[in-house]
Amino acid sequence: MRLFALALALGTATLFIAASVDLPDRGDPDAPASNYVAPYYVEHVEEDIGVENVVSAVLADYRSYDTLGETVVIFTAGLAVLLALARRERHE
Amino acid sequence: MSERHESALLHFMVRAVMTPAIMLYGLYVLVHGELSPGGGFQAGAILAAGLILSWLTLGRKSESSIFSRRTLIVVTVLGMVLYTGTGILAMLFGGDYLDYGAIPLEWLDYALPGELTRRQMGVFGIEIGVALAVFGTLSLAADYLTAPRSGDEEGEEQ
Amino acid sequence: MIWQLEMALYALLLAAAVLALWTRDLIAAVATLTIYSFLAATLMALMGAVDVALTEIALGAGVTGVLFIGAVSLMKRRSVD
Repeated sequence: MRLFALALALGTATLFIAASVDLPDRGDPDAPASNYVAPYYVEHVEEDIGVENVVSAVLADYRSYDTLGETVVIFTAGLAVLLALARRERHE
Repeated sequence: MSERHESALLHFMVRAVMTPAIMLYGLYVLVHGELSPGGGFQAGAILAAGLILSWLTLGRKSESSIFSRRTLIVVTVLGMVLYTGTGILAMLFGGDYLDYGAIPLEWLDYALPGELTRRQMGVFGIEIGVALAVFGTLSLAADYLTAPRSGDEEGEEQ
Repeated sequence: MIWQLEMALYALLLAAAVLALWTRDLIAAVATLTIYSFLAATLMALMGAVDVALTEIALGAGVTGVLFIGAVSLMKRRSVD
């Protein structure tokens, strides 16, 4: 069983390393991630929003639905922790 | 230095130096998040870290009058209401959901051309909401997880 | 100069991760995980992702350790695997 786990881990590592060879270099200007919407954000953030920090502008204005979902996820997680642990305390 | 003095020094350092410094840095990250790295999520996490630090060293009794569980729940829900309320406010005045430029506060437009100041204010409101929600959630989780075992200390909540 | 520093940080990161898996004491594992978070945040800051590094510091190295220790202290068995 341990040998199987080791083989599984090594196989996954081999696959990941083999796949990571094809990834673009870090900071590569020709990478797909920095070629489609990212230049628009960097160039237009001053006239669109006026917030100088591009990360904040993307998080809070361009992609505010995503941030809303993230906050709802955190809120729900806190609610679940609260419900579970408050139940446990009451039962003790 | 005796143990009592060390304990007094620790309490002084945490109560008067470290917790205020961490809390102040969290507020700085919150209000400066539009210019420098940071924002609501980070600010809420830093604020919660400061509160949890004071809980861990000073005990929960000292801060429980300000940040009780009920207060933390209210803070969390207030953050969510602030976030969604900013979006709905923009919707009430004819814009899309979370379209801050539609909120009619023209007297705000003094610093930047057009609706940009209102957009900044909308972004700021949302960041405050996120910070409050994250702060309340993390503090609540830490409060419940590090609570005393058999519930002998909190008689006021039940 | 900078890439030797990064390589050293990567090595420490790997060592911290392996140590967190290896150790039997759960509290020690939580402490090692905090070191892991700190090193990861340093790497992120070196890569220029300061926002992510700030979040990783505040959450990974700060609050998560407290939450893990709270969860460990709620468990019946501490360090037997």
